[in-house]
Amino acid sequence: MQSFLAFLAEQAPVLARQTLTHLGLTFASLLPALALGIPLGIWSARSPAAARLWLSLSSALQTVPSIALLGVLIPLLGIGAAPALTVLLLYALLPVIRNTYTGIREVSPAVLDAAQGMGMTRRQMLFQVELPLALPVLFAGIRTAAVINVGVATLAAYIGAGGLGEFIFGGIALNNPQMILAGAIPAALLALLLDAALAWMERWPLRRLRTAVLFLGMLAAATAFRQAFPPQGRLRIALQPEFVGRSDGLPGLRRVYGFDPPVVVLSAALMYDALAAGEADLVCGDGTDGRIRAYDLLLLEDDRHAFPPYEAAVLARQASLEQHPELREAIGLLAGRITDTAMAALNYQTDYEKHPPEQVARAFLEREGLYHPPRSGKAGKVVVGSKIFTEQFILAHLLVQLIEGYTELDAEAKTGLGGTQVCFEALRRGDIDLYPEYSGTGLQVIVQPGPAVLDSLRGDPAAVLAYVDAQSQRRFGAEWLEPLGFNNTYAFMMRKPQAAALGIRTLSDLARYLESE
Amino acid sequence: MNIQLRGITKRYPGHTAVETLDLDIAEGETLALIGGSGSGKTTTLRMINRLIEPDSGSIRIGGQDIRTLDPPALRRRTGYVIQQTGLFPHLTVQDNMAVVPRLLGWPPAQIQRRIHLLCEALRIDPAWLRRYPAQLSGGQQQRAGLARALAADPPVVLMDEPFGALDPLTREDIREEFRQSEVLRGKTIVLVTHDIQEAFTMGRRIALMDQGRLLQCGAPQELLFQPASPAVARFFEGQAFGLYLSRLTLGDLLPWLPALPPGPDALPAAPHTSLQQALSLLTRSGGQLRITAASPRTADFQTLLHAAGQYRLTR
Repeated sequence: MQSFLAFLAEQAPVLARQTLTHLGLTFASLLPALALGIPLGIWSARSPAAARLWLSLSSALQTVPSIALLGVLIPLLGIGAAPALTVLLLYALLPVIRNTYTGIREVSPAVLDAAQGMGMTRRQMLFQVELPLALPVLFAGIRTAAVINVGVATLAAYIGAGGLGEFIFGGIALNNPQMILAGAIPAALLALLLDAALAWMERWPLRRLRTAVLFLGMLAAATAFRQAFPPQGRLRIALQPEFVGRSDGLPGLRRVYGFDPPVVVLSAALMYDALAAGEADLVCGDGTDGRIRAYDLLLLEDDRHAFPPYEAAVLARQASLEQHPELREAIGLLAGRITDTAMAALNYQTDYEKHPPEQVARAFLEREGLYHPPRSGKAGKVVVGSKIFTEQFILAHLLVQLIEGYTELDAEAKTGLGGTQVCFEALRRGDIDLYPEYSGTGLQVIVQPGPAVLDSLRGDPAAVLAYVDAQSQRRFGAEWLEPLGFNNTYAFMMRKPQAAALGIRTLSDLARYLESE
Repeated sequence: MNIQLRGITKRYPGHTAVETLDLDIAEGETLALIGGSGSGKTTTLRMINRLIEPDSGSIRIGGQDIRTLDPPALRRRTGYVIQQTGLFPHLTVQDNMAVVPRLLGWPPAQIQRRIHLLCEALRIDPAWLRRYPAQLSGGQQQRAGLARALAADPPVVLMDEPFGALDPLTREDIREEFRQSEVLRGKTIVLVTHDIQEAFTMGRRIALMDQGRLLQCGAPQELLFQPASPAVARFFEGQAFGLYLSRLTLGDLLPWLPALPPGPDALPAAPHTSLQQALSLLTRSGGQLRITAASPRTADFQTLLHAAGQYRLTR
C-alpha cells in the first residue's frame, strides 16, 4: 500500500497527463457519437427498415472485440488518436442509437395522438414531445456509452493514443501490480464519476444542458486536436509499454545517455509496422526480430551499454547432464554459431516466409555443416522445452536435431510452454531436461538479485552469465551451457534511409541529435 | 360551424372502416356517435380533423372543404379530447393548456387570461396548474384535458370516449358538469362513445353506426321509440328498459294516469321528472305521487308501470 502511494506520488504528473488524455478521448468520441447516434436513433424510430439496419449494424459492431477493431483500422487510419477515436465512437454508437430509438418508441401513443390532434407539425412533435419524453432513456444510453468509452479508451495506449492504459499495459507486461492499479483505479473512478456527473446533469433544464454540451464539445475538439498533432519533436518515438516502465528500459536509457524525449506508447505487436509505414521514426524492439530484416531497419548500436545483455544459452538440469554426459558435447556444437543477424534471419524465414520451424532449423544446420540424420535413439529420452514465440520454437528444434544426430538419445520438442516461469518450473520438476534461455531474463526473473548486484553486473555479458550460472547451480540444480552467440536485447531501430540522412548510427548519435532538436 | 360529411368511405386492407357515410352536424349541436367496436365511429371522428384521410367523399366544416386546409392549421382550431387525455407528462397542467395557444402565437397575457377563465368554468383548482398530470386524479386529468382542448376557443370540438377511463361515479359527475358548462355552449361537438347512457345524456342527436354504416341518426327518443330497422332496436335491447325509464317523463304519461284525489301524504312531483326518478322516489316512500300539472294526477307504483305500458303500446 505504501509503495503504491509512493508510486502514485512519483508518477503524479504522468498520471495527470494520462487522465486528461483519457477524458479527452472519451469526450472527443462521445460527442460525435451523440451527433451521429441521436439522428440515427430518430430515423430508426420512424422507419422499421432503418431500425433493422442501424440497430443490427451497431450491435454487430459491439460484438467485434475492441482490439480487433483497432487492428482493422490501423491500415486505414494509422496509429494514434484517429483509430482510437474511431473505435470509441463506434462503441458508443450502439447505446446512443438504441436508447434514442427505445426512448422515442416508448412515448405513449395517446400522447402522440394528442400532439398530432392539437396541430403540432412533425418537427414540433419531435422537439416538444418525443425528445423531451425520451430524454431519461436517452440519458441512460449516454451514461452507458460514457462508461464503455472510459473502459475501451484504455486500449488507446496500445496504438499510441495515450491515456490510463499506458500504466495498465505497462504494468501487465512487467507483472507490476502497483503500475496496473495506478492505471486501473483512476480509470474505474473516472467511469464512476462520469456516470454520476451525467446522472446529475440529467435533471438540468434543457437550456443549461445545451450550454454544457457546447462547452464539452469545445473541450473535446481541443483534445482531439492536441491528440492528432501531439506536441513532440521532429523524431516520433514509439515505445512498447513494458519498455517505458522497466528499470533496464527507458529509465536506464535516461541515466546512461541523458536524453528524455517525448514518446508515444505503442503495443509491441504494432510498432514495427508503424515504423515501416512511417507512422513512427524510432522504436525499441527485440534485437533479433525477423521484421528488422523484412522492413530493412537499422539497429542503433548501444555504444554505452545501457541495456543489460540478453545472451541466449541453453539452460539444462544438472541431473539430466549427469545422466547423459553426451548432451553437453552435442549442444556445445552450437556454441557461438548463431550471430544476431543469423538469428534474425531464421526468425524472418519463419515469421515472414512461413517455413515451419523444423525446416528452418534443419536448413541452418545443413548450411553450417552440422546436420546428421537421427541415430538409433535407443539410449534414452530427453525433452527440450521452449517458450511460446518463434525464436524459441526454432531453437528447440535445432537442439532436438543436434541431440538426435550426435547421440543415441531420442529427443522430443515440447514447445509453447508459456513464459519464463512456466519453462523454468517445468525444468525444475524434471518435465523437461533443457530449454533456451537468455542471461538477462535469468538474472531478472529467475535469480532476482538486489539492486547492488544488478548495478555491478550491468553491461558485462560474461559476468552476467557467470553470475546466473553460479546461482542457478547452487539454488536450483540447473546449469547454463555455453552461449549460442546472439544477444536478444532491446534495440532501437530506425528506417535505414532516415537514419543515414540524419547521420544516426549509435544511441550516442541519437542523444546528440535529440539534443540539437 | 356546421359539419357536413358526404359519401365518406375509408377502407383498410381486409376490411371497410366507413362505407359511404353522409352525416350533418348542425352548428352548436352535440352529436353522439355510438356503435360497437369496429363500427367506424372513431375513424369517422378522426377524419374530421384529418388524422385519417378518407379514400373518397368530402368533409366540409363551416362550408369549407377540409382538404383545402393545412392539417396542422385545421387541428389547431378544432378541439380534440381523447380517452387517455393525452396530457403531456413532461409539462405542467398550465403548460399543457398553453400548447395550442402557443402554437397559434398568442401573446402570453392572453394565454394567462384564457387559462384562468377555463379554470373557473371547468372548476379547475388553480393549485393544479403547476402540477404535472401524474399528480392529478383521473377526473382532474380529464378536466385538464378538456381545458387544453378548449384553450384556443375552437368552434368545433371532437371527443373520443372522453369519460371512458373514469369510474362510474366520477364519470356521471363530470359528464353532468360538461353538459352544463358555459365554455361548451354554442360549440359544435362530435362525441364518440360506446356507452348508450352517455350518448343519451350528452347528445342532442345520436348517430348509430354499425360496420362502417350509419344505421340511424336522430333525437334519442326517435332511436328508442321509432327504430329505423330491427338492427337499431336490437342495439338498444339490453338497455332499452333503463333508457326508457330515463327518457320518459311523468308528463309523457299524463294521459294514462288516473285523476284521483291524492292522499294526505302524497309527494309532489313535476311533470319533467323522469320515470326513473319517480319510481325511485316511490320505492323509498312507498306512497303516492301528486303530479303538479295543469290537471293534477295521482300515481303510485302500479299505476305508473301500467301507464308506461300503455304509452309503449301506442308507439
